[in-house]
Amino acid sequence: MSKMLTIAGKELKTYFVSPMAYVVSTVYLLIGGFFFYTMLSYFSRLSLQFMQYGYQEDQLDINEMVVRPLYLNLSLVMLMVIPMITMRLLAEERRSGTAELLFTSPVRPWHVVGGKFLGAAGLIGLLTALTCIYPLVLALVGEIDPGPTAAAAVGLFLTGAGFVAWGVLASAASENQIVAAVTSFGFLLLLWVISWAAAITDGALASVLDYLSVMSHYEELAKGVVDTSHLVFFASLVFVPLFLAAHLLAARHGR
Amino acid sequence: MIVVEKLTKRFADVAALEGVSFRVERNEILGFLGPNAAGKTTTMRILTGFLPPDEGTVTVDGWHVPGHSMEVRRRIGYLPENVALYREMTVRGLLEYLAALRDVPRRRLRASVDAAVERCALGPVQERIVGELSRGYRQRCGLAQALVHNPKVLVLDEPTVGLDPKQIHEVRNLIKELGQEHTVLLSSHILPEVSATCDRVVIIHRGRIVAEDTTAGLSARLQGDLTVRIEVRGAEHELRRILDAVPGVQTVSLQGGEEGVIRGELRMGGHPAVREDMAREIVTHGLGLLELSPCGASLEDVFLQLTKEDSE
Repeated sequence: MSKMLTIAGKELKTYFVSPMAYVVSTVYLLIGGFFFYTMLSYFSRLSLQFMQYGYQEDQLDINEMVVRPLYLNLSLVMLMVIPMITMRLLAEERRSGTAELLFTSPVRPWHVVGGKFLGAAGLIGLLTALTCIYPLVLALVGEIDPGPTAAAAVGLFLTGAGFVAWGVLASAASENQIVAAVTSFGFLLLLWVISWAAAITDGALASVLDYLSVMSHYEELAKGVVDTSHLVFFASLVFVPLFLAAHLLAARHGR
Repeated sequence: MIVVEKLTKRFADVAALEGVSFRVERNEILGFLGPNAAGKTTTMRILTGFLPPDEGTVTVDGWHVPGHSMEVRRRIGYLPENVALYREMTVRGLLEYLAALRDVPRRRLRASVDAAVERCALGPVQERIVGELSRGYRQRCGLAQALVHNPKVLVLDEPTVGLDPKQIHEVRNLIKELGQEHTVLLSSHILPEVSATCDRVVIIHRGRIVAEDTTAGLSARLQGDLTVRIEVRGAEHELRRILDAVPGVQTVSLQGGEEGVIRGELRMGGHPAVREDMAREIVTHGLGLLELSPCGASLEDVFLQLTKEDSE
């Protein structure tokens, strides 16, 4: 376990000695700010209209109209950012030859896989923490429901962590960083929208496809529905690829 | 200390190693010699647990690969071929990271890194970024990371490639020093390197061991084909005629020097009579024989001959 943390610490530090962490968080927050601004403007215009025409104001729910869609969009941006964060994790070690230092040290494949995952997930944790600025601003000027908001933020982190895990697998499979990034991006996007296919099938297949979709789980979670089936889903989203990646490394370098 | 038994490794359909076996004794420096693509790096990668072998075993200090890869790795310090290091880390950061991964206890981390830095004379650059180091420093940093967990065995893949003569000299001296406390396996395709640093040599070619002996022993093997250095006062064309007439003598080089002295190198059959015949002929033709000295076959000769025989 301590070796896993050593590797995680090193990976996290690597993001910060390169421009990577700064560029990613800046771009991420800028895009997030844009979403936040447009959604909030729309919401305030709508509430103004509601007031003018004397509709019931409490029909407008800021959590439903701003917080939840904001986090849903943020998770979609994460889908695009994460492959670029994770692509180097193992592919670069192989390409540059530092894999020889790593895999001739007494570390087991799951130390490496776990460490790389935790390092990148740490960066995602930081990004998620930074996004809390938007609901905090809302809380200053209005009233938001803290439960669903927290669930949305936790859901964003869980989704991100799941994406990172698949990114680790892609990076373990390929020596080429671009190949790793493109395969993980394609796969994650498919996983995101696989529920669309559920609409044109029926029976067991439809429910399986629906269950596999990250989007449907995240939408539920962001509503504040913290159900074990969602937690099991996110746990498997993380552990399945990590397990596969560890096996891949074990086949290549021994246990 | 290291026992390699019948290692076999294939990549796709190409056999990289075919039944490679050899031993390295405790505190010995063994040279692992072979042309490029002979299987040196593959052997070392298996030995260090980086690659699993298809067949065969390696035993390091009583632990086997595959099977106890972690125990073996703990006992080995490895300098990979092109000294790939984490370029974005500082020298100290890199050494601390790898020491921690190699089970150096936290309280001894600082002391271990200090020792490795001192040993490899990295003091002035220890806070610098690895990617900005000169080739020589990077090589030393590579050696330092191999040493940082104080392993019993050092495996060094081409440790002097790309260094200038002064740096080569320094690294060789360092390796010799290390050989007093560690068992060293060093690969090279450069002969002088091996004869300068190693106690014993294993020659590998096309995935097979073609010879295994002490440096001196290998030279002795080629006594049958002796090289002789001569120095004669006289005319070059005359000497050439005389030498051509003696059976069993093959002229390698002859060069006229100042004051009519010709220096040359000859190769001849091992029988002493050939040398006697040649000396007599030179003297009876009235030339001044100044020197006639056999020089042992160089390791280079052995190497070329062994690898040639094998490929024929």
